[in-house]
Amino acid sequence: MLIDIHGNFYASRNNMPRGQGLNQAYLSAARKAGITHIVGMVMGSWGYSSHTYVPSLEDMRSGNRFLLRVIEENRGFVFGYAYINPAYGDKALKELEFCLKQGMIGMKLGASVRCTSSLLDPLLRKCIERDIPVLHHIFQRRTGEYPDVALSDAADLAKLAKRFPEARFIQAHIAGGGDWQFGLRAAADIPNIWLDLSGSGSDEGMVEFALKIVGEDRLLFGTDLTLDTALARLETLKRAGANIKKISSANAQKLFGDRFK
Amino acid sequence: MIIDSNVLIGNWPFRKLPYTDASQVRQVLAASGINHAVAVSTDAIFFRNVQDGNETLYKALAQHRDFFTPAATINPSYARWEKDYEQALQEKCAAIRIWPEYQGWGLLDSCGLELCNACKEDRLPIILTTEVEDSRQRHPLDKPEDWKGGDLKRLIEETAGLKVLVVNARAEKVKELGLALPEEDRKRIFFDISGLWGAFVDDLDLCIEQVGISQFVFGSHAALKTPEAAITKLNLSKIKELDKRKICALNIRQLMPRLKI
Repeated sequence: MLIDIHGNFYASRNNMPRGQGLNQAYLSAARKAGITHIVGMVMGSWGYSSHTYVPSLEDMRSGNRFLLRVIEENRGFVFGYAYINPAYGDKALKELEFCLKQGMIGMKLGASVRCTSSLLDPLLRKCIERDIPVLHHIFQRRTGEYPDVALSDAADLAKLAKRFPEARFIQAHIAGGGDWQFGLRAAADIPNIWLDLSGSGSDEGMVEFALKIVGEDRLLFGTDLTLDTALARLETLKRAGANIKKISSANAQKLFGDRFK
Repeated sequence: MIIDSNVLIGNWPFRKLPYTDASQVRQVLAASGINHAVAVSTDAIFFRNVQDGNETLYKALAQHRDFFTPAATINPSYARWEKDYEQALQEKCAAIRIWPEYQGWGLLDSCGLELCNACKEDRLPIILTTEVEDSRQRHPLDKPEDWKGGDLKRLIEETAGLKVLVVNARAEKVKELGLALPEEDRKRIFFDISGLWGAFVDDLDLCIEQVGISQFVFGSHAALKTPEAAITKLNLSKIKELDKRKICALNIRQLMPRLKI
Protein backbone atom coordinates (compact mmCIF):
# COMPACT_ATOMS: atom_id res chain seq x y z
CA MET A 1 0.00 0.00 0.00
CA LEU A 2 1.31 3.46 -0.96
CA ILE A 3 -0.75 6.44 0.21
CA ASP A 4 -0.12 9.85 -1.34
CA ILE A 5 -1.36 12.34 1.24
CA HIS A 6 -0.66 15.40 -0.94
CA GLY A 7 -2.31 15.17 -4.34
CA ASN A 8 -3.50 18.06 -6.50
CA PHE A 9 -6.32 18.27 -9.00
CA TYR A 10 -7.31 21.12 -11.28
CA ALA A 11 -10.83 22.34 -11.91
CA SER A 12 -12.02 23.32 -15.37
CA ARG A 13 -10.88 26.91 -14.91
CA ASN A 14 -7.27 26.99 -13.77
CA ASN A 15 -4.05 28.82 -14.44
CA MET A 16 -1.69 25.86 -14.67
CA PRO A 17 0.24 25.02 -17.83
CA ARG A 18 -1.49 22.00 -19.40
CA GLY A 19 -4.46 22.67 -17.12
CA GLN A 20 -6.89 19.82 -16.67
CA GLY A 21 -4.65 17.50 -18.65
CA LEU A 22 -2.60 17.23 -15.49
CA ASN A 23 -5.45 15.40 -13.71
CA GLN A 24 -5.29 12.43 -16.03
CA ALA A 25 -1.49 12.58 -16.21
CA TYR A 26 -1.30 12.47 -12.42
CA LEU A 27 -3.85 9.68 -11.96
CA SER A 28 -2.26 7.56 -14.62
CA ALA A 29 1.34 8.14 -13.45
CA ALA A 30 0.32 7.51 -9.83
CA ARG A 31 -1.35 4.19 -10.68
CA LYS A 32 1.65 3.15 -12.75
CA ALA A 33 3.97 4.02 -9.87
CA GLY A 34 2.05 1.83 -7.45
CA ILE A 35 0.23 4.51 -5.50
CA THR A 36 -2.85 2.83 -4.06
CA HIS A 37 -4.64 5.82 -2.50
CA ILE A 38 -4.56 9.57 -3.02
CA VAL A 39 -5.77 12.22 -0.61
CA GLY A 40 -6.05 15.26 -2.84
CA MET A 41 -7.43 18.76 -3.11
CA VAL A 42 -8.39 21.42 -5.62
CA MET A 43 -6.85 24.75 -4.69
CA GLY A 44 -9.62 26.93 -6.06
CA SER A 45 -8.93 28.03 -9.62
CA TRP A 46 -5.13 27.78 -9.26
CA GLY A 47 -4.75 31.48 -9.94
CA TYR A 48 -7.23 31.77 -12.81
CA SER A 49 -9.79 33.96 -11.05
CA SER A 50 -8.35 34.18 -7.52
CA HIS A 51 -5.00 33.47 -5.89
CA THR A 52 -4.11 29.79 -5.53
CA TYR A 53 -3.50 30.21 -1.80
CA VAL A 54 -6.27 32.78 -1.24
CA PRO A 55 -9.29 31.39 -3.05
CA SER A 56 -12.41 33.47 -3.49
CA LEU A 57 -15.62 32.03 -2.05
CA GLU A 58 -16.78 31.04 -5.53
CA ASP A 59 -13.46 29.39 -6.44
CA MET A 60 -13.29 27.60 -3.11
CA ARG A 61 -16.76 26.16 -3.61
CA SER A 62 -16.38 25.28 -7.28
CA GLY A 63 -12.96 23.68 -6.64
CA ASN A 64 -14.34 21.52 -3.85
CA ARG A 65 -17.27 20.43 -6.00
CA PHE A 66 -14.92 19.53 -8.82
CA LEU A 67 -12.95 17.40 -6.35
CA LEU A 68 -16.14 15.60 -5.30
CA ARG A 69 -16.61 14.55 -8.93
CA VAL A 70 -12.99 13.29 -9.12
CA ILE A 71 -13.58 11.29 -5.93
CA GLU A 72 -16.80 9.85 -7.36
CA GLU A 73 -15.10 8.88 -10.61
CA ASN A 74 -12.20 7.27 -8.74
CA ARG A 75 -13.99 5.80 -5.73
CA GLY A 76 -11.64 3.99 -3.37
CA PHE A 77 -8.59 5.51 -5.06
CA VAL A 78 -9.06 9.26 -4.56
CA PHE A 79 -10.06 10.85 -1.25
CA GLY A 80 -10.38 14.54 -0.52
CA TYR A 81 -9.42 17.49 1.59
CA ALA A 82 -11.88 20.39 1.69
CA TYR A 83 -9.92 23.47 0.63
CA ILE A 84 -11.02 26.28 2.92
CA ASN A 85 -10.35 30.01 3.14
CA PRO A 86 -10.91 30.86 6.84
CA ALA A 87 -11.43 34.55 6.03
CA TYR A 88 -15.00 33.72 4.95
CA GLY A 89 -16.00 32.97 8.56
CA ASP A 90 -19.39 31.25 8.83
CA LYS A 91 -19.48 30.61 5.09
CA ALA A 92 -16.11 28.84 5.36
CA LEU A 93 -17.41 26.68 8.20
CA LYS A 94 -20.55 25.81 6.20
CA GLU A 95 -18.37 24.87 3.23
CA LEU A 96 -16.26 22.60 5.44
CA GLU A 97 -19.40 20.97 6.89
CA PHE A 98 -20.78 20.45 3.39
CA CYS A 99 -17.56 18.82 2.15
CA LEU A 100 -17.30 16.53 5.16
CA LYS A 101 -20.93 15.50 4.74
CA GLN A 102 -20.09 14.57 1.15
CA GLY A 103 -17.32 12.30 2.41
CA MET A 104 -14.13 14.35 2.39
CA ILE A 105 -11.65 13.22 5.02
CA GLY A 106 -9.49 16.25 5.77
CA MET A 107 -9.21 20.02 5.58
CA LYS A 108 -6.56 21.87 3.58
CA LEU A 109 -5.55 25.43 4.42
CA GLY A 110 -3.48 27.65 2.13
CA ALA A 111 -2.22 31.14 2.90
CA SER A 112 -5.43 33.14 3.11
CA VAL A 113 -4.79 34.07 6.74
CA ARG A 114 -1.79 33.27 8.90
CA CYS A 115 -2.41 30.13 10.92
CA THR A 116 -2.01 32.02 14.18
CA SER A 117 -5.28 33.87 13.41
CA SER A 118 -8.35 33.12 15.55
CA LEU A 119 -10.33 32.86 12.30
CA LEU A 120 -9.14 29.26 12.23
CA ASP A 121 -10.66 28.37 15.60
CA PRO A 122 -14.20 27.31 14.59
CA LEU A 123 -12.81 25.32 11.67
CA LEU A 124 -10.36 23.48 13.90
CA ARG A 125 -13.05 22.74 16.47
CA LYS A 126 -15.06 21.15 13.66
CA CYS A 127 -12.03 19.07 12.57
CA ILE A 128 -11.54 17.86 16.14
CA GLU A 129 -15.24 17.04 16.44
CA ARG A 130 -15.15 15.09 13.17
CA ASP A 131 -11.73 13.59 13.93
CA ILE A 132 -10.07 14.65 10.67
CA PRO A 133 -6.54 15.95 10.04
CA VAL A 134 -5.61 19.39 8.72
CA LEU A 135 -3.04 19.73 5.94
CA HIS A 136 -1.53 23.21 6.14
CA HIS A 137 0.44 24.87 3.35
CA ILE A 138 3.76 25.87 4.91
CA PHE A 139 6.72 27.86 3.69
CA GLN A 140 9.21 26.20 6.01
CA ARG A 141 10.88 29.39 7.21
CA ARG A 142 9.39 32.78 6.50
CA THR A 143 12.01 35.52 6.47
CA GLY A 144 9.72 38.31 5.33
CA GLU A 145 6.29 39.06 3.97
CA TYR A 146 5.11 38.17 0.47
CA PRO A 147 2.55 40.19 -1.49
CA ASP A 148 -1.07 39.00 -1.61
CA VAL A 149 -0.62 36.07 0.78
CA ALA A 150 -0.34 35.47 4.51
CA LEU A 151 2.13 32.61 4.47
CA SER A 152 2.56 30.56 7.62
CA ASP A 153 5.84 28.93 8.47
CA ALA A 154 6.68 25.91 10.58
CA ALA A 155 7.06 27.99 13.74
CA ASP A 156 3.57 29.45 13.21
CA LEU A 157 2.12 25.96 12.77
CA ALA A 158 3.86 24.77 15.92
CA LYS A 159 2.15 27.58 17.88
CA LEU A 160 -1.22 26.58 16.44
CA ALA A 161 -0.65 22.89 17.19
CA LYS A 162 0.20 23.72 20.79
CA ARG A 163 -2.97 25.80 21.07
CA PHE A 164 -5.07 22.90 19.70
CA PRO A 165 -3.40 19.77 21.11
CA GLU A 166 -6.40 17.62 20.18
CA ALA A 167 -6.17 18.56 16.51
CA ARG A 168 -3.90 16.66 14.10
CA PHE A 169 -1.86 18.71 11.63
CA ILE A 170 0.13 17.81 8.54
CA GLN A 171 2.95 20.25 7.80
CA ALA A 172 2.96 20.45 4.02
CA HIS A 173 5.81 19.64 1.66
CA ILE A 174 9.00 19.56 3.67
CA ALA A 175 10.81 19.33 0.32
CA GLY A 176 8.70 22.03 -1.27
CA GLY A 177 10.98 24.97 -0.77
CA GLY A 178 12.27 26.88 2.19
CA ASP A 179 14.62 25.84 4.95
CA TRP A 180 13.59 22.24 5.67
CA GLN A 181 15.95 21.97 8.62
CA PHE A 182 14.07 24.84 10.27
CA GLY A 183 10.76 23.20 9.37
CA LEU A 184 11.73 19.84 10.82
CA ARG A 185 13.22 21.35 13.97
CA ALA A 186 10.10 23.45 14.58
CA ALA A 187 7.88 20.34 14.41
CA ALA A 188 10.22 17.91 16.15
CA ASP A 189 8.79 18.26 19.66
CA ILE A 190 5.15 18.80 18.68
CA PRO A 191 3.45 15.38 18.74
CA ASN A 192 0.32 16.46 16.86
CA ILE A 193 2.23 17.57 13.74
CA TRP A 194 2.97 15.02 11.01
CA LEU A 195 5.47 15.85 8.27
CA ASP A 196 4.54 15.58 4.61
CA LEU A 197 7.68 14.61 2.69
CA SER A 198 6.43 15.88 -0.67
CA GLY A 199 8.02 18.59 -2.80
CA SER A 200 10.31 19.08 -5.77
CA GLY A 201 13.47 19.31 -3.66
CA SER A 202 15.81 16.37 -3.33
CA ASP A 203 18.49 17.67 -1.01
CA GLU A 204 20.93 15.08 0.23
CA GLY A 205 20.65 14.76 4.00
CA MET A 206 16.99 15.76 4.22
CA VAL A 207 15.57 12.33 5.00
CA GLU A 208 18.39 11.49 7.40
CA PHE A 209 17.71 14.71 9.26
CA ALA A 210 13.95 14.02 9.31
CA LEU A 211 14.51 10.52 10.68
CA LYS A 212 16.94 11.78 13.29
CA ILE A 213 14.95 14.73 14.59
CA VAL A 214 11.30 13.73 14.02
CA GLY A 215 11.47 9.94 13.77
CA GLU A 216 9.75 7.61 11.33
CA ASP A 217 6.35 7.54 13.10
CA ARG A 218 5.34 11.04 11.93
CA LEU A 219 6.66 11.05 8.36
CA LEU A 220 4.19 10.73 5.48
CA PHE A 221 4.63 9.96 1.80
CA GLY A 222 3.29 12.67 -0.51
CA THR A 223 3.86 13.88 -4.06
CA ASP A 224 2.46 17.41 -4.49
CA LEU A 225 3.52 18.34 -8.06
CA THR A 226 6.46 16.00 -8.45
CA LEU A 227 5.97 12.26 -8.43
CA ASP A 228 9.61 11.68 -9.38
CA THR A 229 11.17 13.29 -6.31
CA ALA A 230 8.58 11.63 -4.05
CA LEU A 231 9.35 8.14 -5.32
CA ALA A 232 13.07 8.88 -5.26
CA ARG A 233 12.72 9.90 -1.63
CA LEU A 234 11.44 6.41 -0.80
CA GLU A 235 14.63 5.02 -2.33
CA THR A 236 16.72 7.44 -0.28
CA LEU A 237 14.78 6.45 2.85
CA LYS A 238 15.60 2.80 2.12
CA ARG A 239 19.27 3.78 1.82
CA ALA A 240 18.96 5.50 5.20
CA GLY A 241 17.50 2.32 6.74
CA ALA A 242 14.01 3.71 7.43
CA ASN A 243 10.88 1.63 8.00
CA ILE A 244 9.32 2.23 4.58
CA LYS A 245 6.00 0.60 5.45
CA LYS A 246 5.35 3.18 8.15
CA ILE A 247 6.16 6.12 5.88
CA SER A 248 4.46 4.83 2.76
CA SER A 249 1.19 3.77 4.40
CA ALA A 250 0.98 2.81 8.10
CA ASN A 251 1.40 6.33 9.46
CA ALA A 252 -1.23 7.70 7.06
CA GLN A 253 -3.65 4.88 7.91
CA LYS A 254 -3.32 5.75 11.57
CA LEU A 255 -3.64 9.47 10.99
CA PHE A 256 -6.75 9.15 8.81
CA GLY A 257 -8.38 6.48 10.98
CA ASP A 258 -7.88 3.33 8.89
CA ARG A 259 -9.97 4.61 6.00
CA PHE A 260 -7.87 3.14 3.24
CA LYS A 261 -8.76 -0.41 2.14
CA MET B 1 26.12 2.94 -18.63
CA ILE B 2 25.35 6.15 -16.78
CA ILE B 3 27.85 9.01 -16.72
CA ASP B 4 27.06 11.74 -14.22
CA SER B 5 28.13 15.18 -15.46
CA ASN B 6 27.35 17.05 -12.26
CA VAL B 7 28.93 15.84 -9.01
CA LEU B 8 30.34 18.02 -6.24
CA ILE B 9 32.76 16.64 -3.65
CA GLY B 10 33.57 18.45 -0.44
CA ASN B 11 31.91 20.68 2.10
CA TRP B 12 29.05 23.09 1.55
CA PRO B 13 29.32 25.84 4.17
CA PHE B 14 25.61 26.32 4.80
CA ARG B 15 24.51 22.83 5.75
CA LYS B 16 26.08 19.54 6.69
CA LEU B 17 26.24 17.04 3.86
CA PRO B 18 25.99 13.39 4.89
CA TYR B 19 29.00 12.36 2.81
CA THR B 20 31.88 14.53 1.65
CA ASP B 21 34.78 12.35 0.61
CA ALA B 22 35.35 10.67 -2.72
CA SER B 23 34.96 7.09 -1.44
CA GLN B 24 31.57 7.82 0.13
CA VAL B 25 30.33 9.75 -2.90
CA ARG B 26 31.43 6.92 -5.16
CA GLN B 27 29.63 4.36 -3.01
CA VAL B 28 26.33 6.27 -3.06
CA LEU B 29 26.49 7.01 -6.80
CA ALA B 30 27.42 3.43 -7.67
CA ALA B 31 24.58 2.07 -5.51
CA SER B 32 22.20 4.15 -7.64
CA GLY B 33 23.58 2.63 -10.84
CA ILE B 34 25.92 5.44 -11.89
CA ASN B 35 29.08 4.14 -13.55
CA HIS B 36 31.23 7.24 -13.89
CA ALA B 37 31.12 10.86 -12.76
CA VAL B 38 32.67 14.22 -13.57
CA ALA B 39 33.41 15.77 -10.20
CA VAL B 40 34.34 19.23 -8.98
CA SER B 41 35.46 20.57 -5.61
CA THR B 42 32.60 22.05 -3.58
CA ASP B 43 35.06 23.89 -1.32
CA ALA B 44 36.59 25.73 -4.26
CA ILE B 45 33.39 27.74 -4.80
CA PHE B 46 34.17 29.82 -1.72
CA PHE B 47 37.96 29.70 -1.64
CA ARG B 48 39.68 32.91 -2.69
CA ASN B 49 42.39 30.69 -4.13
CA VAL B 50 40.29 28.06 -5.90
CA GLN B 51 43.41 26.06 -6.71
CA ASP B 52 43.52 24.84 -3.10
CA GLY B 53 40.18 23.15 -3.78
CA ASN B 54 41.39 21.72 -7.10
CA GLU B 55 44.53 20.26 -5.55
CA THR B 56 42.53 18.61 -2.75
CA LEU B 57 40.18 17.20 -5.38
CA TYR B 58 42.98 15.82 -7.57
CA LYS B 59 44.51 14.11 -4.54
CA ALA B 60 41.15 12.71 -3.39
CA LEU B 61 40.35 11.33 -6.83
CA ALA B 62 43.79 9.79 -7.41
CA GLN B 63 42.60 6.41 -6.09
CA HIS B 64 39.31 6.64 -7.98
CA ARG B 65 40.22 7.67 -11.49
CA ASP B 66 38.43 4.59 -12.82
CA PHE B 67 35.20 6.14 -11.51
CA PHE B 68 35.78 9.90 -11.39
CA THR B 69 37.14 12.40 -13.88
CA PRO B 70 37.87 15.81 -12.38
CA ALA B 71 36.50 19.14 -13.54
CA ALA B 72 38.73 22.00 -12.43
CA THR B 73 37.39 25.18 -10.89
CA ILE B 74 38.96 28.24 -12.50
CA ASN B 75 38.58 31.83 -11.35
CA PRO B 76 39.96 33.92 -14.21
CA SER B 77 39.87 37.11 -12.16
CA TYR B 78 42.51 35.75 -9.78
CA ALA B 79 46.27 36.13 -10.20
CA ARG B 80 48.07 33.33 -12.03
CA TRP B 81 44.86 31.50 -13.00
CA GLU B 82 46.59 30.40 -16.19
CA LYS B 83 48.79 28.06 -14.13
CA ASP B 84 45.68 26.49 -12.55
CA TYR B 85 44.32 25.99 -16.04
CA GLU B 86 47.55 24.37 -17.22
CA GLN B 87 47.43 21.98 -14.30
CA ALA B 88 43.81 21.15 -15.16
CA LEU B 89 45.03 20.02 -18.57
CA GLN B 90 47.81 17.95 -17.00
CA GLU B 91 45.32 16.35 -14.62
CA LYS B 92 43.22 15.37 -17.62
CA CYS B 93 40.16 17.30 -16.51
CA ALA B 94 37.14 16.81 -18.73
CA ALA B 95 35.66 20.26 -18.16
CA ILE B 96 36.20 23.61 -16.47
CA ARG B 97 33.61 24.60 -13.90
CA ILE B 98 33.17 28.30 -13.27
CA TRP B 99 31.26 30.24 -10.62
CA PRO B 100 31.13 33.87 -11.74
CA GLU B 101 28.02 34.50 -9.60
CA TYR B 102 29.98 33.63 -6.47
CA GLN B 103 33.38 34.98 -7.42
CA GLY B 104 32.70 38.54 -8.52
CA TRP B 105 33.43 38.48 -12.25
CA GLY B 106 31.32 38.36 -15.40
CA LEU B 107 31.23 35.99 -18.34
CA LEU B 108 31.73 38.91 -20.72
CA ASP B 109 34.58 40.49 -18.72
CA SER B 110 37.90 40.30 -20.51
CA CYS B 111 39.16 37.64 -18.07
CA GLY B 112 36.02 35.55 -18.65
CA LEU B 113 36.41 35.77 -22.42
CA GLU B 114 40.09 34.87 -22.14
CA LEU B 115 39.30 31.73 -20.17
CA CYS B 116 36.46 30.74 -22.50
CA ASN B 117 38.66 31.18 -25.56
CA ALA B 118 41.31 28.95 -23.99
CA CYS B 119 38.64 26.33 -23.25
CA LYS B 120 37.43 26.49 -26.82
CA GLU B 121 40.97 25.96 -28.16
CA ASP B 122 41.53 23.00 -25.85
CA ARG B 123 38.07 21.43 -26.46
CA LEU B 124 37.15 21.79 -22.81
CA PRO B 125 33.51 22.68 -22.11
CA ILE B 126 32.67 25.12 -19.36
CA ILE B 127 30.10 24.17 -16.72
CA LEU B 128 27.80 26.80 -15.23
CA THR B 129 25.38 26.24 -12.35
CA THR B 130 22.10 28.15 -12.30
CA GLU B 131 21.76 27.71 -8.56
CA VAL B 132 23.66 25.55 -6.11
CA GLU B 133 20.81 25.46 -3.59
CA ASP B 134 17.14 26.27 -4.00
CA SER B 135 16.93 30.05 -3.61
CA ARG B 136 14.02 29.69 -1.17
CA GLN B 137 16.19 28.07 1.48
CA ARG B 138 19.44 29.98 1.20
CA HIS B 139 21.45 31.03 4.22
CA PRO B 140 21.53 34.84 4.62
CA LEU B 141 25.23 34.79 3.67
CA ASP B 142 24.68 32.69 0.54
CA LYS B 143 24.20 35.58 -1.87
CA PRO B 144 25.28 34.77 -5.41
CA GLU B 145 24.74 37.35 -8.14
CA ASP B 146 21.61 36.80 -10.20
CA TRP B 147 21.85 34.30 -13.03
CA LYS B 148 22.63 36.15 -16.28
CA GLY B 149 21.21 34.06 -19.10
CA GLY B 150 21.57 36.98 -21.52
CA ASP B 151 25.34 37.14 -20.95
CA LEU B 152 25.64 33.41 -21.53
CA LYS B 153 23.64 33.63 -24.75
CA ARG B 154 25.97 36.39 -25.98
CA LEU B 155 29.08 34.45 -24.92
CA ILE B 156 27.96 31.41 -26.90
CA GLU B 157 27.06 33.49 -29.95
CA GLU B 158 30.38 35.35 -29.88
CA THR B 159 32.68 32.41 -29.05
CA ALA B 160 32.26 30.02 -31.94
CA GLY B 161 33.30 26.53 -30.99
CA LEU B 162 32.88 26.93 -27.21
CA LYS B 163 30.68 24.27 -25.60
CA VAL B 164 28.74 24.98 -22.44
CA LEU B 165 26.97 22.74 -19.94
CA VAL B 166 24.33 24.40 -17.76
CA VAL B 167 23.45 22.37 -14.68
CA ASN B 168 20.62 22.30 -12.16
CA ALA B 169 18.50 24.57 -14.38
CA ARG B 170 14.73 24.62 -14.11
CA ALA B 171 12.56 24.34 -17.19
CA GLU B 172 12.12 28.06 -17.77
CA LYS B 173 15.89 28.63 -17.91
CA VAL B 174 16.43 25.64 -20.19
CA LYS B 175 13.81 26.95 -22.59
CA GLU B 176 15.05 30.53 -22.30
CA LEU B 177 18.53 29.52 -23.43
CA GLY B 178 17.70 26.54 -25.57
CA LEU B 179 15.10 28.32 -27.64
CA ALA B 180 16.64 31.80 -27.74
CA LEU B 181 19.84 30.67 -29.46
CA PRO B 182 20.01 30.27 -33.23
CA GLU B 183 19.92 26.59 -34.22
CA GLU B 184 23.65 26.37 -35.03
CA ASP B 185 24.62 27.87 -31.68
CA ARG B 186 22.08 25.77 -29.83
CA LYS B 187 24.11 22.68 -30.64
CA ARG B 188 26.85 24.01 -28.35
CA ILE B 189 24.75 24.36 -25.21
CA PHE B 190 23.88 21.33 -23.10
CA PHE B 191 21.77 20.87 -19.98
CA ASP B 192 21.85 18.29 -17.24
CA ILE B 193 18.57 16.86 -15.98
CA SER B 194 19.03 17.54 -12.25
CA GLY B 195 16.90 20.71 -12.06
CA LEU B 196 13.99 19.60 -14.22
CA TRP B 197 10.71 18.28 -12.84
CA GLY B 198 9.78 14.80 -14.00
CA ALA B 199 6.47 12.93 -14.07
CA PHE B 200 3.70 13.90 -14.19
CA VAL B 201 4.38 17.58 -14.87
CA ASP B 202 6.92 16.24 -17.37
CA ASP B 203 9.22 19.28 -17.66
CA LEU B 204 12.04 16.93 -18.63
CA ASP B 205 10.08 15.41 -21.52
CA LEU B 206 8.76 18.79 -22.66
CA CYS B 207 12.19 20.45 -22.61
CA ILE B 208 13.68 17.59 -24.61
CA GLU B 209 10.84 17.83 -27.10
CA GLN B 210 11.40 21.57 -27.55
CA VAL B 211 15.19 21.89 -27.31
CA GLY B 212 16.28 18.54 -28.75
CA ILE B 213 17.49 15.27 -27.24
CA SER B 214 21.12 15.88 -28.28
CA GLN B 215 21.45 18.74 -25.80
CA PHE B 216 20.74 16.79 -22.60
CA VAL B 217 23.09 14.83 -20.36
CA PHE B 218 22.63 12.97 -17.11
CA GLY B 219 23.48 14.96 -13.98
CA SER B 220 22.55 14.39 -10.34
CA HIS B 221 23.99 17.44 -8.55
CA ALA B 222 25.17 15.02 -5.86
CA ALA B 223 26.31 15.36 -3.12
CA LEU B 224 23.98 18.33 -2.62
CA LYS B 225 21.08 16.41 -4.12
CA THR B 226 20.34 12.69 -3.95
CA PRO B 227 21.31 10.66 -7.03
CA GLU B 228 18.05 8.72 -6.67
CA ALA B 229 16.13 11.83 -7.81
CA ALA B 230 17.79 12.02 -11.23
CA ILE B 231 17.63 8.26 -11.74
CA THR B 232 13.93 8.09 -10.84
CA LYS B 233 13.12 11.07 -13.04
CA LEU B 234 14.66 9.33 -16.00
CA ASN B 235 12.99 6.01 -15.22
CA LEU B 236 9.55 7.64 -15.07
CA SER B 237 10.02 9.66 -18.23
CA LYS B 238 8.34 8.70 -21.49
CA ILE B 239 11.62 9.10 -23.40
CA LYS B 240 12.49 6.16 -25.64
CA GLU B 241 15.23 3.76 -24.51
CA LEU B 242 17.64 4.90 -27.23
CA ASP B 243 17.17 8.50 -26.19
CA LYS B 244 17.77 7.56 -22.56
CA ARG B 245 21.09 6.10 -23.64
CA LYS B 246 21.91 9.38 -25.33
CA ILE B 247 21.22 11.24 -22.11
CA CYS B 248 23.04 8.75 -19.92
CA ALA B 249 26.23 8.22 -21.89
CA LEU B 250 26.33 9.22 -25.55
CA ASN B 251 25.73 12.98 -25.54
CA ILE B 252 28.35 13.67 -22.91
CA ARG B 253 31.02 12.26 -25.21
CA GLN B 254 30.13 14.97 -27.73
CA LEU B 255 30.22 17.59 -25.01
CA MET B 256 33.41 16.42 -23.30
CA PRO B 257 35.75 14.94 -25.90
CA ARG B 258 38.53 14.73 -23.31
CA LEU B 259 36.47 12.37 -21.15
CA LYS B 260 38.15 8.98 -21.49
CA ILE B 261 36.15 6.03 -20.17
